[in-house]
Amino acid sequence: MVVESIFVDGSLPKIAAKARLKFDKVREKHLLLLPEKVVVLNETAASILRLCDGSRTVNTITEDIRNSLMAGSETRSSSAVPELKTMEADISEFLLQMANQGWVVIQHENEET
Amino acid sequence: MKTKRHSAVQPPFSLLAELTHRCPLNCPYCSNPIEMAKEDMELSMEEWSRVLSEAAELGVVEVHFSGGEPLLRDDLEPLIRHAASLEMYGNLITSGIGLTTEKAIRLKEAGLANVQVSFQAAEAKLSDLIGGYKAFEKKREAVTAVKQAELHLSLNVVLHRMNLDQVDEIIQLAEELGAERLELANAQYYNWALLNRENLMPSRDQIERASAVYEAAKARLGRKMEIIWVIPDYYASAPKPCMGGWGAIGLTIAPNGIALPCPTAGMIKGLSFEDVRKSSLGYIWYESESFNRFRGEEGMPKACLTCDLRHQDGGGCRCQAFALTGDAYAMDPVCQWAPEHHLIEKAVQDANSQPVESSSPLIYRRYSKGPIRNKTVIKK
Repeated sequence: MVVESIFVDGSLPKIAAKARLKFDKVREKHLLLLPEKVVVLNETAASILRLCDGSRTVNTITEDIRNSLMAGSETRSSSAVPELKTMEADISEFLLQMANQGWVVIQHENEET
Repeated sequence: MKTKRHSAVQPPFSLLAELTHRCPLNCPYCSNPIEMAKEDMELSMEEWSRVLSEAAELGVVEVHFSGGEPLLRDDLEPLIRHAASLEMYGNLITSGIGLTTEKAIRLKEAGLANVQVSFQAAEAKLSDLIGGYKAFEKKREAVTAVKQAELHLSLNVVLHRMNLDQVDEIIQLAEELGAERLELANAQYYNWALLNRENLMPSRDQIERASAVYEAAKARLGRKMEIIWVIPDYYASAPKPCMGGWGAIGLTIAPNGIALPCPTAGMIKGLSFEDVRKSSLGYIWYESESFNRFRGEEGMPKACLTCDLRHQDGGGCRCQAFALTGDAYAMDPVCQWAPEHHLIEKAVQDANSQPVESSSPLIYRRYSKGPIRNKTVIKK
């Protein structure tokens, strides 16, 4: 599967240097600002991209997102939060799309950055 | 003044800040008006700062610092810093003249995110001929400065009859220079480009060959370099939507503070535009007569209202309708059903029958009062 070939263990996704994340108070939306392009993000996409700072692996990002989901759903049953594996696959798929657009770059732990 | 507020108007995303019309280059396709704003009419740094603050409040998230040559303003750095402090994405659109490594680093530190450097051709001789200035080597130096400052680099090349056959070399140059993005935009025929249309309009063969080169390069380069390709709308099957719509996505502020719903709208005579020295940006965007004039379907020519294509082309380009017919309310002649479509057919026919070397001289962009305007009559 393509997703696995790009996100080996130790992949560190990072927002591309040309991109800026911003919460826009006027539209009340998260935006990804790019040369000649503005991408309006939904909450989930924004919360994932916020964690893409080059210091977290996809696995760590997934755990962070899942933990905040769990914290937010304490009153509900914990089964409302998807399995870690499922979430990691979804987040990897999303980050792959972002990487294909050139909006996220994938670094590796052993690489010089 | 009679005003109306269009109910569907969304906040603007972008601001094209034309800091000055002064420019070392004299490109014959310049999109600046024939009649340019003089230096003593330019907005001050304080006025631009206020405009940027108002723009941010209005919802603008990207600022394109342009001109003329924005590097000729000695307050560019504080303006970029101010835009960055307002969390706006700063983009510099420059000829590259005057961009040293030291300057590029300072602008980056001020918060600049992206630099677009224009190139006229793939090599010095043709490049300097088109720009009317020995700029090519200086541009290469500017690009090196951008790379050394580790700024994101876009190359912008306006394509036309004189350089379309070099597209392959232009793409190679962009790769060699380390550009992350290359914009290959065919000239649009307004203002100076319209004056020089006979010299600039490519033949269909040229477009087709260049288009094939672009397609191959795009497939080859993938993620390595983003390439944008814009054909001249004279060869398109339908008109282009006016910058995403009149006063729909962004606004332009000319050097003298005149606010425009699109970069070329100032050419439409009989339409008066607001001055940011006198009106707030919020008023201009939402309330002003000029920004509301051609918004949405109310602003379309009647014939467009029953046409399904209106959702794609937005009724065409009002500036082009004015430029070619003298009537901004007319159908865009690029539309195949427009009564004046023969004007486009004639221009295309001429471009495909004349020899490669045109007989009439190039009219270079001049930073002057421009009495030349009376000559902008379209040959029929």
